[in-house]
Amino acid sequence: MKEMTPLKKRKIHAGVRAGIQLMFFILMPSAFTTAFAGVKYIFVQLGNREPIEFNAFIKVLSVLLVYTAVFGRFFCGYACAFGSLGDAVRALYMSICKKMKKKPVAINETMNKLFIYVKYLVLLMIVFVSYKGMATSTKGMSPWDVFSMLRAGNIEMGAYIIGTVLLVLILIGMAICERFFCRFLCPMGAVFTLIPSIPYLSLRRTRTNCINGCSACKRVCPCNIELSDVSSIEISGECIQCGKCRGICPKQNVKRTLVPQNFELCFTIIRAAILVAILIWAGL
Amino acid sequence: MNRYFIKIINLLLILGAIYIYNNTLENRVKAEEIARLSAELESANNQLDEYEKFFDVEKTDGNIVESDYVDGKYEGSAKGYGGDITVEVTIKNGSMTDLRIVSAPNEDGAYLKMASSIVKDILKEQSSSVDTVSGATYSSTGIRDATKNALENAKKNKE
Repeated sequence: MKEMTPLKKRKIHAGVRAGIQLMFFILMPSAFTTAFAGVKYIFVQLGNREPIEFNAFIKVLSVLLVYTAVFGRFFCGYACAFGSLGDAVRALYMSICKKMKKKPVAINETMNKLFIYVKYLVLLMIVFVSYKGMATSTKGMSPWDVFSMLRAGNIEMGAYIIGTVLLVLILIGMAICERFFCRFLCPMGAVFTLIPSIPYLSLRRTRTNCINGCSACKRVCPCNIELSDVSSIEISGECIQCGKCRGICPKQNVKRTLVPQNFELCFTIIRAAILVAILIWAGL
Repeated sequence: MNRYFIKIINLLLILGAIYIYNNTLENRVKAEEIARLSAELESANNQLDEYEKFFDVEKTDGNIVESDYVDGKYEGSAKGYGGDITVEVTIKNGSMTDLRIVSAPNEDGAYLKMASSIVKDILKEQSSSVDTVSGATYSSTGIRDATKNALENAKKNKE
């Protein structure tokens, strides 16, 4: 087979990713809320002093956490309907900027180091509300509920003013900063970040091979991650496995230890297939 | 220490804590259940003795309660999370003996499964005024309201 140019390869990867995202968006749009319903359920039960049963929510949650422990946050990058929605909004914004010959708004990345902890606050707040049994009084405040109901075609916006406003703000954020919600606010993302994932299946780089002063991987990364060196088994919990760093590296220096370089596309499709299979098994 | 190992240890601690929590509760629930059942048994026995002593009643098969409902099968529907949910209520000897979800085309699998636990509450209480399932509020509200709707249809004196 003829060797493709790096640009062509990147385009193919981007296309495959968009296709997988679209498929999950159509087939399993509620996976992310179901998993998070599992987290909330645990704290509701703790608050009521009742046992935590292995119910439908917990099953989906456990399946996703185990998957994340193996493959990293592939779910976030490829399967989460909310993340995909954000990517779509972002793509739309970028194409509008291009058409109007305007420079897209850039976010100051130095603040990121602090902002990424906001999602733990969001998680703590929701968990506290669940624990205290106040979940019913916060009905209509969740932007996820509004999104899910819109998606399901059940539109009664009147009761969800706060949720609707938050959803609009989040979408604006997603447009001007890639994966804004996922990086800074997503409570499920906060849970995923705390899961240890096997480093040998994730992307790392051989730092000694890097071109001095090149930070292409970090700049292309939607999560602004400083890639780990192959000598470290610690990979960033922020990584959503999008694989952009791998495509951009001028020295093909970003690799998975256990996956051959030219097997990447297959690996992506295999991961997606496994995810579909286990989510169906979990009852979605 | 490496963050990877710290995460693994944290995860194991959380799983361990949940396991211990569940076990403790299970033991407590069992103990309470045993205490409750034996108390019930005792009071039932006492009551039976008293009845037999004072009234010398014959045993009936229990259907003395006057019911508002006509026997049969009734459908009802109401709005759930993604659209209408339809249920079928079976009334036998004036009480709800079965509640079946006939169709819920726009509900999500896991949510509907969670929400379905409201069915046994409704049958136990013989009423649609029960608490909704937390976490699956929309779907369980739909099932509850659909039941209410079906029971309206089953009423004796429809206006």
